[in-house]
Amino acid sequence: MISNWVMRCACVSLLATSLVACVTAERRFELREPLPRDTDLRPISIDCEHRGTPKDPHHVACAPKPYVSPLAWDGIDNTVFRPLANLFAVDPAREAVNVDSLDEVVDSAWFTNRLSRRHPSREELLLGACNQEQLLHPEAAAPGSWVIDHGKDNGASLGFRVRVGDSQKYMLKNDDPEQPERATAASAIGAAIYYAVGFNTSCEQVIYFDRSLLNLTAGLTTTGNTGGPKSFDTKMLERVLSEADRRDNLYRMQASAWLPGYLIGPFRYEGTRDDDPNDAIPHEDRRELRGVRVLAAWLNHFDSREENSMDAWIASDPAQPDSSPGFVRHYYLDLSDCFGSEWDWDGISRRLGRSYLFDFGDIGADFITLGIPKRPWERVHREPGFEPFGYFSAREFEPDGWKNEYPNPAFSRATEGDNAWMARILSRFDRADIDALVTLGKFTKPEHAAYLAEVLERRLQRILERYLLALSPLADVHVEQGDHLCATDLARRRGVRAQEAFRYTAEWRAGSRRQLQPVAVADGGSICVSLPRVGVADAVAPVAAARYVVVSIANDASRYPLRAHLYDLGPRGGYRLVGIERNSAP
Amino acid sequence: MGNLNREPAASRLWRYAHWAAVAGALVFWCRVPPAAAEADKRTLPDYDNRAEEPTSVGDVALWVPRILLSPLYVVSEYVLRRPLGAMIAGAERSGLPSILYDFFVFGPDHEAGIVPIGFIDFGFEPSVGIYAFWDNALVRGHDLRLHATTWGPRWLAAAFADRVHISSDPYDSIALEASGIRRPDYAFYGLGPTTREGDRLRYGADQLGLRLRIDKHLWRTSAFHAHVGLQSVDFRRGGYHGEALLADEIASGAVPAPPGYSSGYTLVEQSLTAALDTRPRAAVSGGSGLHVEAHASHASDLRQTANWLRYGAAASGFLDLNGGGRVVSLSFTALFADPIRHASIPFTELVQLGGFEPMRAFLPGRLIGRSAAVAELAYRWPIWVWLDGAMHFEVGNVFDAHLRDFDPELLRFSGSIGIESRGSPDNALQVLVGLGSETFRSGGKLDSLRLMLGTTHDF
Repeated sequence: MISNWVMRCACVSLLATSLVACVTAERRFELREPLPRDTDLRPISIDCEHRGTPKDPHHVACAPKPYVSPLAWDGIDNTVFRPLANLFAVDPAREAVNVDSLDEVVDSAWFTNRLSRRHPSREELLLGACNQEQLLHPEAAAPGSWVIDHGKDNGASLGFRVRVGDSQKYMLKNDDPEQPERATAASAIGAAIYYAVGFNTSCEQVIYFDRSLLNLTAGLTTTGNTGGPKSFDTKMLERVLSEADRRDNLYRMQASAWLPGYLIGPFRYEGTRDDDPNDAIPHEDRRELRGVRVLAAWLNHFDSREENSMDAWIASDPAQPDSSPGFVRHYYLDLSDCFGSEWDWDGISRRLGRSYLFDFGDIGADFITLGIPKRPWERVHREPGFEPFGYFSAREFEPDGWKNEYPNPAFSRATEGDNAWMARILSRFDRADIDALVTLGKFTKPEHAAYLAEVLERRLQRILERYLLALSPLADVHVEQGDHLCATDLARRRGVRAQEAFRYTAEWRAGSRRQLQPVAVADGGSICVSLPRVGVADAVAPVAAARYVVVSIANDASRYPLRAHLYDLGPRGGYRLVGIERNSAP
Repeated sequence: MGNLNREPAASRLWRYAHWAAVAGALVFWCRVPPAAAEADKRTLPDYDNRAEEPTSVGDVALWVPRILLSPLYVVSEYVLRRPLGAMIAGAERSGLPSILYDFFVFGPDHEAGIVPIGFIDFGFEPSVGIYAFWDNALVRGHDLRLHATTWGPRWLAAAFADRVHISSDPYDSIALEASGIRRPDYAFYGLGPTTREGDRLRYGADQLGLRLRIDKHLWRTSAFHAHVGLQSVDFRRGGYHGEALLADEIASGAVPAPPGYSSGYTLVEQSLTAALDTRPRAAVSGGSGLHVEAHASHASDLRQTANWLRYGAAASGFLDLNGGGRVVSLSFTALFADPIRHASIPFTELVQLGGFEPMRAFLPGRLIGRSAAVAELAYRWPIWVWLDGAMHFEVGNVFDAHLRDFDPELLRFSGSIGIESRGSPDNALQVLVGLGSETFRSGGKLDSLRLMLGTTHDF
């Protein structure tokens, strides 16, 4: 009986498969420019509803409702229930949805191509998400000009909010006394890197300030992770300051500028927001949310869960933040766990970035194998003299094996294409960029900055070795002089392999005609291929199949070649690049 | 003839499963948000400027496992995940976890708390209860502990410990402990090495105990332990799921009453244990070294004016294979119980194997005698921050006085594998699956299965 039923299913599948196979043909790209920008940045209107506040009980809001992330359920669900349901759903990851014809992520409310379009100047790189007005200058501030108007709720670090001037607000946070200067530096450096890559972040900076700048407002309260509200008074302020790092008489803290807009809570890594019409792509199928796993692995941002993100409703009328029309912008927050944050338990600290907090797979494997294989977290150790960075090193870093605290729906669905996309962006950080970014940490000891830069460089090399060469690392593909297809080999430019390892071949194909073309190689990873003419009459329509050309360029170092799709619009129109593929055989 | 027309049960079951699968598939297809919500969403642009990817062979083939697994998907997603998500997330948003945390863990710096516990040892009644702790109670270095567990009014257990630390090493302490246990499901298989699995009889007992103990670490992990105690034990009929009772078998003359059963006993005990252990103190669950331990205790039964000695020794070697807590150990243990001046020792005070003692694949009470010898090869390895895997392969048995009837043919095998928590022994988690055998003389057939899960309910 069972076998009959299975046989029937199999027959139906085979029949359908045969039909499908009959209609399969090469998919051509249309003769169009790549999508310049996603449509989720267009202002939309949200139905208004009564949303009273303590200050205004009759307040009406015309923005999505704030979402409160459930800390415990998020961990339990992503550790147990979601993976279980996904297993039975038999829904393997496909390629991400928001990928344009050039294999890049389209600019959107989530992501803006920055580094991949243009290498920023040193000043831009270090400014990150900050604008000049947001940069704090404590040495020039007047005593009492930083008004403490809120204690810091939740989180592991201590802190408070200050209002500077009329409109700027900052959350000031401490370092962990066990790991001096690490958390504050990680926030500033991490945010600048995330921003340069293309994500929206808050403006983060490390500041040293005098106690006299602070002016505590009376009657403040704060709410911790557990327990009820507590008074944030002078005693509490002194406690916060007593645990802050100090240099001479100045306190060192991290200043996080308040995000613009109406904050509506974190974004989830799965599904969409029901109340945001612009949010139409399931988050787990967004390339930037999948590919960011590679970035998180680089910095060891193991705390990359929904609580460390934020959605903000950006109203067209900034004076009324929760009014319509507007759109939702998505931010990454709090990167203070990067570069080796530790927990109270050494066993956990060793595992961070290497195993989930409760990892059924690792526990089961260790039980079944009787613990015979030695695990990465057993091999790690703190580098003498660099203890603030805990177990953050390149020695045991395995990009494929990197894990955050608990399974992340988007990370779990990342494909080779998503990882390669992020690797291409990261490859554009050169060593000088890393050295510069590390200065944002304002480390007291220069050797700490040097150590961090060296670890980051070596971890990045591991990432590029793994993800940049699986698919073609050719990027910035464009047509020059109408009949030259040029690109930059990011792997060669970044020195992932020795120069002689890169040997280029190119094949031009139009219909059934194929011919090999020489590849001109230049410094900086540049290559160019001269393209022969298709040779069709001018009268032939521009979109005609006869004008369609595919050029495959292999570099002998990566597993797959680049396949560039072009239309030959004749000697006057020249070649037009319309698409790129990186994960197909030639 | 009517039977010929009846659909076979298997076929009927399969038909139900088929319809469940179809229903599951329908739910699966419908799991996308409702049409109205979809309609509100923006229309996605054509991101890659080319036609949709055609359906592939793999896409079609996926529907086979998808339909077959759809009932499991429906259960995992709609019966478990979503309702639990709504419930737990809702509770979190209303602040319930914070309230619960403050309810269960309280006091300055959250040094006091209550933790729910449970214990299942198949073959006995399970139990549920609480473990309460209060570190630095009233004064620094003074801890209070309480276990209270039950499985109905016939199964009650409580243990209380008042500990004063005498050094910065948490092991070093003086403690006053009180305990009381009332259980109906104790097992008795007889005395001596040849008892059989099928001989199990049940009895009940009420125990009350009071003990003053001192524990002190010496060189490395060497330790010294001493205690004086008072214990009262009375036996009752008891009962467990209709199994044969010891009281009935005694009344019918089929089984002689084991020593002490009829009268119970009240004993005063003094005990001393000294262990020389070369393993480093810092190695919580690892480290290589040797461990030699000897213990002796004297007990007097105040009801019968009987006295007896219990003593024994164990020698163990530990080899940490790579310094990472993967420890192979080989141990030899000999235990003895001797009456002084022809007194009889209550059967529950004789040497026992099984339970939490060596030969752990056997249930508590399975092996009782005047002496015992056990050789154990064990392996312990880390599987998580707070969990170890553990395997024990043991050969041993109980015997008459001073191993008088020791014969390799009378030995039994005990093999177990499980998970044990690290850290405080006060509330240790254990999961164990074990198989024990008859004596080798009887063929060595594996006839004892032990499944155990839970936290201990004693100190």
